[in-house]
Amino acid sequence: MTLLPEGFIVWSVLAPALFLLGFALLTLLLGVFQRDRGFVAAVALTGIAGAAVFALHFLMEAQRGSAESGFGLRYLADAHASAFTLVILLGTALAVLVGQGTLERLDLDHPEYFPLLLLSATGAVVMVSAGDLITLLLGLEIMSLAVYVLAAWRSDVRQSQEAGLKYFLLGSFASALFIYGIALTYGAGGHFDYASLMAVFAATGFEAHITALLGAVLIIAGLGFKVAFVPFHQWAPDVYTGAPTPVTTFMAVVVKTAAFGALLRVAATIFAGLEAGALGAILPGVLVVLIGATLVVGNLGALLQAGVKRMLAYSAVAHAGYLGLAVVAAGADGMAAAGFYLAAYTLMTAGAFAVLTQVMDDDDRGDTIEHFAGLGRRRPWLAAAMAVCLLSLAGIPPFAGFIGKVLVIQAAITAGHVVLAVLAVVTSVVAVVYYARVVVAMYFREQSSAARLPERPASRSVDVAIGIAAVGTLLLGLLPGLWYTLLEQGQNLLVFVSSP
Amino acid sequence: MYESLLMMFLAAGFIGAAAVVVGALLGPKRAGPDKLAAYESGLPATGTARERFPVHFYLVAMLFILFDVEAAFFFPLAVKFGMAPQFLFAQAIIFVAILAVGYIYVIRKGVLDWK
Amino acid sequence: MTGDPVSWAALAPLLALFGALVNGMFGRRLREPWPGYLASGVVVLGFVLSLLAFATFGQREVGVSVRLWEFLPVAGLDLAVGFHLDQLSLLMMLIVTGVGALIHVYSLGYMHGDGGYARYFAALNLFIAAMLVLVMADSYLLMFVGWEGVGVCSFLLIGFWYRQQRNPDAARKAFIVNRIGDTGFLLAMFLMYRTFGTLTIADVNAAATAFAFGAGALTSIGVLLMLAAAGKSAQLPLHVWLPDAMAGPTPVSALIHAATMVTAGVYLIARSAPLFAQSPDASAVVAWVGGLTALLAALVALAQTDIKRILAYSTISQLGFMFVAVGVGAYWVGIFHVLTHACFKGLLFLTSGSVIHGLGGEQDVRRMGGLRRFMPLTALTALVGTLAIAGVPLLAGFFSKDAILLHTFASTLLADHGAGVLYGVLLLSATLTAAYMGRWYLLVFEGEPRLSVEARGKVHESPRVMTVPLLVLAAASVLTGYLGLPAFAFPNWIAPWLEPATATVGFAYPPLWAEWLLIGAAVLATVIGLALAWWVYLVQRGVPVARLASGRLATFARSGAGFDALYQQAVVGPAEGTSVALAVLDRDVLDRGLAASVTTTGVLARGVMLLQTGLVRNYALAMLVGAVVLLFVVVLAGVRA
Repeated sequence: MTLLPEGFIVWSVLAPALFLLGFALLTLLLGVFQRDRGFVAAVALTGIAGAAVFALHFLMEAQRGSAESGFGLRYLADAHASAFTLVILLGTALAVLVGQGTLERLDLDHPEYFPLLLLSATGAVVMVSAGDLITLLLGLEIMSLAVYVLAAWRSDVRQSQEAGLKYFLLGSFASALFIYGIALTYGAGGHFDYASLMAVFAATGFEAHITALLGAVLIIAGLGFKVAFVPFHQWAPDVYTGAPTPVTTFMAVVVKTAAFGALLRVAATIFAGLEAGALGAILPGVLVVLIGATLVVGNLGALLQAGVKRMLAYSAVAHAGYLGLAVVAAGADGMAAAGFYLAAYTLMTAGAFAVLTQVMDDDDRGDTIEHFAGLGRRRPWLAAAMAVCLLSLAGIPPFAGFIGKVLVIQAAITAGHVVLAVLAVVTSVVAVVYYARVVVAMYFREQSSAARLPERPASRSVDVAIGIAAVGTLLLGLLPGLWYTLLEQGQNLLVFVSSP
Repeated sequence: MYESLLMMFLAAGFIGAAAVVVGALLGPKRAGPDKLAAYESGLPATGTARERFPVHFYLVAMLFILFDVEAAFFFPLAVKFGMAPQFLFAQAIIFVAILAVGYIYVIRKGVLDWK
Repeated sequence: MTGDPVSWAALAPLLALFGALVNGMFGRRLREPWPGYLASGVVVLGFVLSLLAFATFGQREVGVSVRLWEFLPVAGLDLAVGFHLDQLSLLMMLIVTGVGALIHVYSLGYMHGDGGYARYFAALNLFIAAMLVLVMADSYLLMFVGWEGVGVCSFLLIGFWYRQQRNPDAARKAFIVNRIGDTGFLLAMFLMYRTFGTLTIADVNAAATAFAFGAGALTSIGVLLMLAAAGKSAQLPLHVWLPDAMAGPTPVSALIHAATMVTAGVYLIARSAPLFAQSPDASAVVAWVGGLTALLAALVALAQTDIKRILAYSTISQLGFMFVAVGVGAYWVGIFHVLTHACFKGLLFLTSGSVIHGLGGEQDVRRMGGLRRFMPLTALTALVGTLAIAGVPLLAGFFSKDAILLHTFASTLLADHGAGVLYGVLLLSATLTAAYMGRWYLLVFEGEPRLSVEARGKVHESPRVMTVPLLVLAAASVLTGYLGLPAFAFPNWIAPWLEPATATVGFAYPPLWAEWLLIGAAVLATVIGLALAWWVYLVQRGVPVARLASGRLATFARSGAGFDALYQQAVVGPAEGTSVALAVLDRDVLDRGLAASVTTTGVLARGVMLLQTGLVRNYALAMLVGAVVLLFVVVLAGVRA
């Protein structure tokens, strides 16, 4: 029997994922033995912090040019992987804080909540760290299964059930497409790991272009479902709206970050390899069409929504479009730009949803713009945080969202996709309208008698989450270099391997 | 190269077909209403679908399948154990530990308390 | 941050910013002296840091660079926040934090009991932060951030007492006129980036040095920079905002509109010295604008009756002197005059603030007089300031003004651009300076009191917190001059100190006896001016000019030589006409087009919503169709290829 090559097994690269997994199990046990939810939440946050320490270590290693990897480049801990892991952990931490402050009030308090969040985050971490398609698939399923359950968390409410079932059915369908894509890619390239696939595809004499392209298109479809590219996006508004708001907070940021992290890696390697051939223009063309459609549909869909929650759901689709600009430029500056954008997106989106939980009533209803009228006078800090998050989402300086947009648009232009960049700028004008409407309501309209803000003591943990989100959004907007330089200068293993 | 695969397909097809055919030829045929009904895990297969199901039954059945199938994962582990004994041993331990946590969870939730 | 004490000075602007933030956010909750103590404390600390950096700088050839953080890499443009601490910026830091600290302390007394106490100190701290960024920046871009920052603070402080309509009006005027100059700064940066591919000051200067002497690009950049400088430093034709800016509290006039911010233009030229040294044409523009401004403002100052407006025109005139200095290539002389002027003009403004404070708000010099008896300390320090600015030997202004005159006379850079004529203009301006400052002092402090009845009862010397800064500045108005003694006969410290940080331009110094003669001429000009003022206003009690003062010429001069009326006619009127036309265009053409596009967008949005049926089978179908179409496209393309 052959032994594995020396240095094939590297436990340490699994550390963030294993740490999260371990704490998922721990919180599960605690959940069934311990009544105190606050304690369980604290343990969950500890686990996230621990995983973040490992991820940060890897990121620093990557800065020094000594990024680690294991299992023959099938599991990576380079700058891209660890940076995205950190963003995922940030999103998870915010979701835990929001959950801790709202679950009891919304009558959602079951012991499995935090374990499922952590499990899902584990899957997300595996996805962004994956160096081959099978690992990616594993991560995708680990992440998705937990989220399907979470979406249906309000099991006594029709919308929540519907959301869970819709997400599950369509998600399975997308997984099927994705697996088929993996199969075709394997059939064409004979490998699962990105590095080998890229080398095979880019080599002269490679002939199975069409098979590989078909595989790539199906991979785009599968991951496009998770990131909500048009036409694979239609679940998003319904599921985001139907799912309980604390869960939506998690879904909107973590799932998107993981899916984009994986998609960017695949685009930078497998898709880049396919661009060498005679049919090289097809894949970028396909992506450009999908992303363009996403920009238009996401922004137009958000425009006329009366509910802020649904507006934010469509805005999540629109932001998939902006992040798509980074995907078409994944080979150049796109990965770093997306890494920045997703950090900003995580902060501002989680912040907006967190504020939403404070405005909505105990039945998780009441998210119309009417409910925001006069918020600036009644709850000045809450309104200010919401304004920061929304203006940042709209891409207005000096907030992080603006820098993010500049970076992805710049990356797209560098990669030669000027038309897409122009479309992104034009559609972001539309975006200002629907975000600004809420801000206007908060500050320039009087409170309507029909939509009263529920009277209840503020939740400290949600306040902390909102504070982190708002301050972070401002900080990243003022000092973008703090985070961006880490992304830009960090070692990226697969690009490193494939460049010679 | 793929002869063995072909042989397996043939064998599977033969056994499947033979079971049906032999059963039809040799089995005694004493039909009754219960026996003619489609098998649905012991539930009446007709009537309204909105009827209440005994969820407990499904839960236990599902748990059985879960723990049963998990055992199947040890086969590839056993086959390739020599490649990296320590690594695979550690993996198996982690795997069992996760199962154990699941088991404790199931017990605490009272799923196995049949009442 | 390294162990080098020089680099610690980078903390100074952050400290001031911290003070501004605390006072701005929580100032209203703090009781009165605390916002002032905090604000003064951070500036004093900044001064200590600057002093430390200054003391430990030693004999270094190049400055110390401190890069605080990278902002973002955008298309090869280096957007870093970095400070460059060299001889020039350290000297400017000392002026800003030194004078700034004194004026903060003075404000503790001056702003006592004002409703906007914390707001005032927040804005003043913010100003110090922005001004420090301006002088410390290592790139034009960051300098522009400070440049705009001081503009904003100036706006906030001119309109500080916003309940009177004329104050916000003055603030807006200052801001708008400054924006014209800022356009020049922006265009200069665009041109620099195009020509040199960088905005880092050191790189631009190095590239400019390597450029052909007198090249057109350098001249264009130089003239645009001068436009920016003219806006900020109130030079012709953009000087009109400064007299109105006196609407702000007097300490603000002293700090921002006399000692520091208005000298930013001089600093900008000195900072870009290698570029200007390569372009005689641009330098000539600088010098001539300065010279004409010096003369015109001095003439106008003679006719003013407001105690602060006289000083404002005097500032404009003195700034003109500085521009002549940097224009003829004597960069150290320009900065030297910035230093001495900061001391004596800051002092003069503070004494006038003391007078206004003591008279309960009276600002018209015709209703003052004889105040020396009531406010002896204020009068004494005002006398020192007056003599210093007039150029009486052995006081600071004498040395710096004499250096300007000498270098104008000896200029080789502008030999073909009428340096000799310029010298005459300056000499005349110097005479006028002595005359109008003599008039100012005599009308306020000497002669018979012409106070109104109610003011006469209240007049008093200012509290100690205000007079101590006066004494310090008075001492500085004497002593700073000895940093730059005439180099031909005495040790001169400031010229060799600033030389490495600016540029070296050759001068054709006259023989020794001629230099003494030039000094004699300058002294004579001062004596004539002062004697004239003494004779007219003290001996004859203003009788010789009484008829003149009511004449048309004086009215013309009092209105600032008609610039405001001219701009009203030539710029504001047409601009209003254009904006009315544009409003029609906007309402009837653009808005309709916009409305149509909004409607279209709305219809499209409704279409998108219709697609969202809520049925899972439709969603699955959309996904399937999407995937199949994509697959089909690939296969089709493959078949074609």
